[in-house]
Amino acid sequence: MSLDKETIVEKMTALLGKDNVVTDEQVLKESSVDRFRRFEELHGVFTQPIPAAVVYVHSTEEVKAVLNFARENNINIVPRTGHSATEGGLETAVENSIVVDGSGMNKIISIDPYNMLATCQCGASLQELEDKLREDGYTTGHSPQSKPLAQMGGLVATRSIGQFSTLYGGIEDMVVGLEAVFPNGKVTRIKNVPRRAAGPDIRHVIIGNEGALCYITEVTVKIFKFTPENNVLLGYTLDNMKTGFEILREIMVNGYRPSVARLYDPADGSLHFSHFAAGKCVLILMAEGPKPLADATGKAMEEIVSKYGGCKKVEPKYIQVWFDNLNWDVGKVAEEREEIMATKNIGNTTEVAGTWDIINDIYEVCVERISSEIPDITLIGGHSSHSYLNGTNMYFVYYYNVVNCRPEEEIAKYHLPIKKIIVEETIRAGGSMCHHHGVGKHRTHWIEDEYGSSYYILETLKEAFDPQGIMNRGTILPGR
Amino acid sequence: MKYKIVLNGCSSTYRIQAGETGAFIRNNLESQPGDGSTIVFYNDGAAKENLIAASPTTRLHLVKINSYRPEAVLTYLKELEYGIECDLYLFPGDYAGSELSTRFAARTGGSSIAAVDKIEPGSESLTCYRAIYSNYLRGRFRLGKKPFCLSIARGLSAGAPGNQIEKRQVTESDFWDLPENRFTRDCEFTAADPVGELGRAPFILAAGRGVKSREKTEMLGKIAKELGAELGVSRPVAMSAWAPLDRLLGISGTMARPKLCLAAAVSGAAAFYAGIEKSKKIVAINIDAQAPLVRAADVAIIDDYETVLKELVKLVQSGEPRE
Amino acid sequence: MNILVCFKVVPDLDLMPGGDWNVDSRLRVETGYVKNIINPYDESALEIALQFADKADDDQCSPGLTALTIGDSKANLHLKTLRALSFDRAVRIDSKEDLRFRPETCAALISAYINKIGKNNVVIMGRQSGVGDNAQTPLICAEMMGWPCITQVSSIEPAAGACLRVTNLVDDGTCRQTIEPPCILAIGNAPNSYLRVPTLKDIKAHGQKPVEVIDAAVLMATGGQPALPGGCELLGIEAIDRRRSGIIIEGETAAEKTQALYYSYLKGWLAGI
Ligand SMILES: Cc1cc2nc3c(=O)[nH]c(=O)nc-3n(C[C@H](O)[C@H](O)[C@H](O)COP(=O)(O)OP(=O)(O)OC[C@H]3O[C@@H](n4cnc5c(N)ncnc54)[C@H](O)[C@@H]3O)c2cc1C
Ligand SMILES: Cc1cc2nc3c(=O)[nH]c(=O)nc-3n(C[C@H](O)[C@H](O)[C@H](O)COP(=O)(O)OP(=O)(O)OC[C@H]3O[C@@H](n4cnc5c(N)ncnc54)[C@H](O)[C@@H]3O)c2cc1C
Repeated sequence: MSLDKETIVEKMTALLGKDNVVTDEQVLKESSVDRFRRFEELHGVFTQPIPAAVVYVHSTEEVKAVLNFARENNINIVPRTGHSATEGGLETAVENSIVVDGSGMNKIISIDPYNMLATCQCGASLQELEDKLREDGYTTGHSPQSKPLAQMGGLVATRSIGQFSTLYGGIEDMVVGLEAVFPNGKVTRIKNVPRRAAGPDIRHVIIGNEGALCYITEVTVKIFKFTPENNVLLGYTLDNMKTGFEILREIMVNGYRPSVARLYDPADGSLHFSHFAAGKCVLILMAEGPKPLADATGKAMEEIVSKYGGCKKVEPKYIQVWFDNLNWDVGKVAEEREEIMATKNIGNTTEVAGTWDIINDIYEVCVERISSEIPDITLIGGHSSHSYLNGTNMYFVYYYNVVNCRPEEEIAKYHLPIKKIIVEETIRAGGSMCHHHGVGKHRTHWIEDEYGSSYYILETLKEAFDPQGIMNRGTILPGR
Repeated sequence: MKYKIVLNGCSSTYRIQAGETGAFIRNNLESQPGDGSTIVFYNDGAAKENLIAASPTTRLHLVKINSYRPEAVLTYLKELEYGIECDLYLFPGDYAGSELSTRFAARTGGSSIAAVDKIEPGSESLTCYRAIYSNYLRGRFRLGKKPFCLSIARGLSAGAPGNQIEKRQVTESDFWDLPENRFTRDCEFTAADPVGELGRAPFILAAGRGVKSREKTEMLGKIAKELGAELGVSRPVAMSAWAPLDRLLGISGTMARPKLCLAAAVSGAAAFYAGIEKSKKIVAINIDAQAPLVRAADVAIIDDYETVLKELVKLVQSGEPRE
Repeated sequence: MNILVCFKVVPDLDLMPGGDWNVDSRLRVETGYVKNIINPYDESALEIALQFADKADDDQCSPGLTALTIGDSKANLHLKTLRALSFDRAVRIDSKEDLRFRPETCAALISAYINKIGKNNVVIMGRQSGVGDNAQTPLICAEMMGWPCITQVSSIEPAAGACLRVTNLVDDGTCRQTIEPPCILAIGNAPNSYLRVPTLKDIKAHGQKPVEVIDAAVLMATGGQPALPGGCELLGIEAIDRRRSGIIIEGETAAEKTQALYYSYLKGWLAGI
């Protein structure tokens, strides 16, 4: 083992100052986990090694200094920004890790409406950036449900995606340039250009690295004109998911680009739409952009849907009111915590993707297996929320009562067996086990299966950039 | 309009009941203290002189009972009032009052409504106003059948003692040895401060669900002390038992009237807001600028409540000492 | 013991978009756009009844549990859930009438159900529900049944001799009393009474059993006591404007904002206390 906790704290304090090195017991405990272990956390049970310190960095230079120190002393680093991760990416799997929190690097550095670029530090809150842009009639086009919580560094590090992705794409379609610090202390900047063919696109080494290759310090994303007045919102109820997938496919393959394309099954829908669509699937579509385009897209989508029997149009206001309450702010997180404690009923999610020919089968087999094989399930369902020319995603939502087990046994008894079913069925069918939350630390068992022969490339990246394995051990690839 | 006020003299809240019903009459009826009368149920525990001295009307009728059980009081009240013509029975806004008004109307064939904040008498009917839709809206109602039995909205007035009344006219009855109800086998009573710290506090720190845990709620209790404030909480906080129920603010809890209320991590649902509406000044601390409370506050800080309050403690404690 | 728990499904009014209160010519308010919930006091009533049954089960005198609601089919979903949570009966009195401000009609329907069908001897319901906010139904029901009514109840436990141990708030304290049925218990603030969630297996096993639907008019016509005269008629609805100046304090950091708050406002206000 490398240095002891006291020495680490001492050195960090010398580097960053006392105020930026937190060793409060409770903070350290809460920093050893993310949402994946919130049932344990709620019960005050912490099973992961507790980090030596949480340190707050305020500049690229400081990040570099911390990484140099960690490399020299073989200390595990867990990068963090918004702390909204869901897959264990923030778990400190190794004794005496340092959690490097970039939320203090929260400046919006520049907004360039001529070249349509916005540059900010890794800790800039997406909500703030987006609010600021909207005041001037622009948008990032990025709207994950965690917008009020997440920050730019984490959003890029997880390859996140938002509710308008079918038009604007995932974060990988938005990032133009980046700055990142690698564990050898090298600060790398990728410049902002519209496109280039100068070798492989190295942005993708950084986007989605989940803190396992480098520390993202700065991000430049595209911005778009924001014209919500042109939005055309459509909602339908229908009887089954298969028809819904067919409609989504037809919209996509015919070249339409809705911003929102969401399809809920009845179980997941019961959490949102029971007041107007009990027992039904719900399809939600939105067209946006310049008025002629939005109108035409809206009209064409209406025509497509009208060809399918059993689709009933819903007054848009139902959908609008729902949509306005969809995002998760800290208040909702608090509400959820309170309900979990009161009812011992907890909900989790796993998101996968597949081509059009397999997605409905994945959906059906997973729902069937989970409801019959897992005990104490109270709800299993899901939605598709991001569609592509070639296929779509499936976001499984499952709730269970935690009974006859200690808080620390919840994951092994319920969550992992469910994840296992979803991941294995998806990979077997030929889909991807991770659509947008990242691999974190609990899908690493299947990462080789996910990649197949291309695993070689992934593994080599890790070995090349983080030969000592100090970057977020156990994330994306299993810990050594 | 002939009216009678019905009060529970067995309770330590008697003065509040008398104050708020008296104020309601003054604010809503062009009436002299002599027009109406008050019926007071009391038992051994209460000092008669005090009951008489605080009565909101010149005339009052003291009824001695064994103990205050709604079932029994209803029977006595009906007996007392049998054959007597009266347009309006007014009950205080507390639990006992709102319960009696409804049940008494049912027994006399009158009409009733609970938690009224204003009335306008007509010739044969009475127009009443009260909050509806969880306090988001206010309804105007007509009561058509006499006697009109009303309980008034909680926290409507400060319950200050009313007009100075020179001389009272007191009559009395005694139901002391009538048999008790038979459905209660035994009853233990634990007294509590009826107004509570919150009801009196000039300065309240209100904590909402956004504080996130029992530990944080307890921490806010300490911060409240350091600031010289009393801690109040929203319903979710009380329902999770992060704080005792007597700390609850809102239509289901205390209707406070402090000079200053700092509301931290509270969204400001109407049912909560009613509990702090009478604050002279309201400060909201919320991370969400869109939270309804922000608009309903005098000033607001959009930031994390914990950071803000800790900073505030420093500022307050370094400032000039207060009396 | 034969327990009837009454509940109402209401829109979650806290989700209503701010200021979007449209009142039509019949004084109806459009709330259909927001999600429905079980009225919070009624949710407590249902959970307290289940907890009571759990405890009574240990004492081997398991009570019968019926969940009853009055209204249209939007409550069916909740009734099925309650069925799955081991309520023996789930009943909906079908009524399309506007009952928002008709506690006397609700009480008459509940009484008719008890007398004609349910033969229950304990009724548990929330003290108030969040659209009409009448806070009168349990009281009127008690009058119609000629039963005692305990209000502001926060917990109910089984007691010897088929009795109930009831904790309730009164204006100047708390009572813990042993009650002999029949009685009506109106639930007030009851900590830790979120309704539990049924598992899919429970739903499979019990949730499919049909909800009993009874037509309100038929129920009343075949021998219900007529409703007590309510005589309270809705004349108008107005929005309540609660806006204050809502000045948002600007600043770079939380500390800066707090200082601005303190020196520009709070210091003066605190001095006045
Ligand atoms: C309620 C809720 C809803 C959500 N909805 C969505 C959604 O709609 N779409 C979506 O894509 N995700 C969603 N998520 C997941 C999560 O919000 C995203 O993964 C988000 O991108 C994480 O950002 P963050 O700033 O909170 O990162 P953190 O949680 O702090 O970190 C996430 C991961 O990124 C790494 N990381 C963080 N900062 C850096 C950095 N500067 N450099 C390198 N690595 C770093 C961490 O080590 C960790 O592995 C949701 C989460 C919650 C709780
Ligand atoms: C019949 C009935 C009676 C009711 N009676 C009452 C009553 O008497 N009293 C009452 O309170 N409610 C009552 N309610 C409930 C009421 O409708 C609301 O549900 C409740 O007031 C919401 O409480 P809250 O504001 O604490 O929680 P939420 O609405 O969840 O709000 C939490 C707030 O905290 C903010 N926040 C989160 N984290 C932070 C942070 N770190 N820093 C700063 N801010 C943060 C969030 O932005 C959010 O605005 C009643 C409801 C009904 C139907």
